[in-house]
Amino acid sequence: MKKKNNLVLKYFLLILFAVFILLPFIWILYSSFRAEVDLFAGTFFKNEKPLSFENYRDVFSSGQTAAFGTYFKNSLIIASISTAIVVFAALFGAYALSRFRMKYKDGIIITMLLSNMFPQVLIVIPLFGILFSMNLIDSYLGIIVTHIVLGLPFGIWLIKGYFDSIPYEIDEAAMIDGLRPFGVLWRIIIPITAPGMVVAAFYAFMVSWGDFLFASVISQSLDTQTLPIGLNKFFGSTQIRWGAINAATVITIIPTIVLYAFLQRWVVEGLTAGSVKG
Amino acid sequence: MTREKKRAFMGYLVVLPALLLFALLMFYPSVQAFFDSFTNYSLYNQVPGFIGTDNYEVLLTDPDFWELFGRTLVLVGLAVGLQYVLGVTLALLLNENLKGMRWVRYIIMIPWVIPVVSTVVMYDWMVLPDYGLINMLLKNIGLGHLTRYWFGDPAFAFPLIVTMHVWRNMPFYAITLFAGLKSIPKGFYEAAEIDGANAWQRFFHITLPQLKYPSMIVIVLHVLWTFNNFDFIYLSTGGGPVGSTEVLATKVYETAWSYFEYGKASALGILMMALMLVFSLAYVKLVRSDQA
Amino acid sequence: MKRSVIVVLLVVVLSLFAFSKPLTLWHTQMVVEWAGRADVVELFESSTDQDVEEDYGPALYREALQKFIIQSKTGNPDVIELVLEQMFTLAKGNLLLPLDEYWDDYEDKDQYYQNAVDALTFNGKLYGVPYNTNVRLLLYRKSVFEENDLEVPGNWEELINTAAYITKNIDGMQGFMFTTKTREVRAFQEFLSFYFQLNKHMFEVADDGVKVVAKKEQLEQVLDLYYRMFFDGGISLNERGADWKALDYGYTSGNYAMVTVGPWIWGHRYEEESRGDVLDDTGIVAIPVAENGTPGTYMEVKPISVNRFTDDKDKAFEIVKDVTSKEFQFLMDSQAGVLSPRKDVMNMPEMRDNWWLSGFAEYMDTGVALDPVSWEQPQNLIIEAIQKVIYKQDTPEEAAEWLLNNLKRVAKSL
Repeated sequence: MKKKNNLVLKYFLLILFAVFILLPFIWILYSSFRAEVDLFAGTFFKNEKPLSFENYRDVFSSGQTAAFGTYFKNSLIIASISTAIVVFAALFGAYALSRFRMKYKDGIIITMLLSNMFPQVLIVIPLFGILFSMNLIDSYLGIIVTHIVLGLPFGIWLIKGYFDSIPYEIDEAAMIDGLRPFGVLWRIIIPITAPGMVVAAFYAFMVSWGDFLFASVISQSLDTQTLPIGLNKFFGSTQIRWGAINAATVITIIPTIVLYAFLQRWVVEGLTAGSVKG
Repeated sequence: MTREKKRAFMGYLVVLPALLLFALLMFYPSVQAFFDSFTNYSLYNQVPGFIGTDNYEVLLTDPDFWELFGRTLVLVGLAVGLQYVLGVTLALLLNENLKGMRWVRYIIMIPWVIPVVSTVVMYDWMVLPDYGLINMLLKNIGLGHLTRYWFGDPAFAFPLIVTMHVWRNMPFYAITLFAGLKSIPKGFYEAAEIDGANAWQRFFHITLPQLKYPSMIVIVLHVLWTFNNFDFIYLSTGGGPVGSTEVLATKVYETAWSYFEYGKASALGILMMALMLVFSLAYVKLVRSDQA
Repeated sequence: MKRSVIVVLLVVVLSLFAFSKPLTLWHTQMVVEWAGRADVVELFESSTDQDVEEDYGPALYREALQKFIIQSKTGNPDVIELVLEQMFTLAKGNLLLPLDEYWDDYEDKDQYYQNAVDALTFNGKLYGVPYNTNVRLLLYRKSVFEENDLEVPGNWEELINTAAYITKNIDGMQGFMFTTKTREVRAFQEFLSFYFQLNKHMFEVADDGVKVVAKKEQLEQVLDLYYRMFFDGGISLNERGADWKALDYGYTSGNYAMVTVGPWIWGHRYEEESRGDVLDDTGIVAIPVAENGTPGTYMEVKPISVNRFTDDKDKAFEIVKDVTSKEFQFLMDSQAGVLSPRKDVMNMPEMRDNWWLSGFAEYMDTGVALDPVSWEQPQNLIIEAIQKVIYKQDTPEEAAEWLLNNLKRVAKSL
């Protein structure tokens, strides 16, 4: 009896969470199919005009048409490359900080974290100057490099923690068996701490995907504009089209969710693989 | 060279590129800002003049600053606290491996992958006076007299901001803590059950302590993020109504990018960084000492 | 020897690139999504002789200003469309090119209304060419007034009472509306629309700095208007904290009987038929004048300005000319439903016969331009004072005193 009550409770809580998480999105999804007249009528299901893809047609037939594809492409490229580099650099960096006896270890970590503590709005102006003098304005590289700097501290810190939790004896045992330090990294440590890496990758990806501040300052043309910038273009100063904004928001969100649906499998594998070792 | 020294050298080599990048893109601008904070650098004073600690004095003696500071603390405390509690709960639920869990795992990342501006749009759309979902619901259940523009009500604007923060970031806690749960050896629980511990005891004496490290990471990260975040507030309420949602981060943004007073903004930024540094050091030390 | 030849070649090649580098124009109306955007862009691209980048910058003025300040020294963008307040800020920050020498040689210059050109003068120099202007007037629903036998208010007292009456007695209709959201530029402009009847200036720029010429009683009178409008029932308390979207779209949705606004809401008719109906049912009159005031309202003039650090001043001004030409202004302004500061455009039959535009044009001479200071801080102070009053934190008198003191405090840095 107790077990059944528990089950009901758990499902109830789960549903509560699901509703809390999905409600804003479902409402805007529904709204994106309604005609403007109905959006402002204040009714739930009564619609004067039938539900349609009108708003979506609007978004795609606007001058920014092909642009949405470009925004998505740019965001994807920039975020993927930044994430890959962050994970790679964090892996080696964390390993070094965890396993090699270095004098300024703590100082290095704190310096990196410090950079995440400074209000970003103040960094933007000098950053632009530096990137400009290196001719990195309006380039993928300029934005990628900035995003790496944003995502790396947390990555190193997180992964280092996972590495730290593996006793050094394991390294020694493996090295007695003939593995060199980086061999130890590959064969022993990474498999055990895969969950941490996945989380670090997630974080780096999202930092890059969602960044508006730096991307908008560095990019000067359609070639490098990302999704957040594209979405912002629907907010005018004297005219705003809720129907189009709703549709554009959904368009921004759906591919991201699909992307995550694919990455989820990877995440789940990464997470469950870790538990097997336990 | 001894093996130790060789390793140390390799270690430095490995982290060097990252450090250089940091030095250039983050450290240098921060140092620049530090020096700027002692000047009257602004759009109209492009050649800054040294004014000593004036900026800091003005800030620290302004009661408004302390009000913002207090409100920032409340925002961060509430947001992170709620995120943690809900995140742990969700992580525990995910760990239960119930049927249909797959779908839940797909959807929980949604708030996190949505750009902040879209989140604000969605919430704004829900709380508008006549066509917002919340108000429509209220009218339908007979509470029509309670309808209003929720972002425009001093009593509710702040809670709404907290809600948005929680909504957006809670999934990350869930995922990270879930990963943490997965690495707790099952053997611990089995041993505890044999010893007669009930669910609550197992939670408090095994789960939470084992989660200490991922918890620390995720909490520090979000304290910093929430402390520095200005766009949730800026895009939704602008800091109002009547300043009820104004925090240090929005003030820095306004000083630098609406008023173009970089000297003053830098001073505020340095103060904010100092605060966060103190918090991080203290918190990390606390956790470390517990683990030792 | 060989090396120096290579260097010279490189320099020549690079400078050739510099020569052929396209110019950049930032114009929000060529970026943001609105009915006339595509036509306007097409006209510009087909009529300009210059090589211009096809990306026209950010969609929001606020963003364009911030980006411009960050990167203006790189010479990019060359030409930028602004809002008057921004032009003052940038001129003061020495980032804009004074255009007097180009203007004097410009053959179209006599086509412009002098007060529009004067409005763009800062410290005796011209910093922009105007392309768009408007005044704020009282718009009201004719049918509502007819059906209920109401008279259009002529002074502040009548405005308050009529608004309260409508809200109380007419179902589904609110008498009046103000924007009151924090940092909402329109709220600041609405305040000034009433303030300018009591005092045509808020600041005075003298050699020894900026002085506040607003008087406490004047500020108090306007704040009192806000207070009574909300608490006598003209505007529902639920509408506090609304932004421009709520006001503009609320009016064309048929929720408000009267608003003080500019002509751009004409564009709503292209979005939705029912909004067009509301616009057709709209009457246009001067904003009710205070008993102790003179006619006056907020006048907006939008300039096209040139970056002081542009690589090619001549070409930049050519672009300015293209983007303020008779054809361009006609297309842009007629589609958007706004007024042009050019006489030849305003005299075109399509503009003259347009009842909406001529309704607004009639009151252009009561328009008051902003004092040439940087308005960011006063703007936020005014909005905060309004909020103190409508959220009942202070009385209008207390708020007026607070506002005056703070205006004086920031005056030295304006």
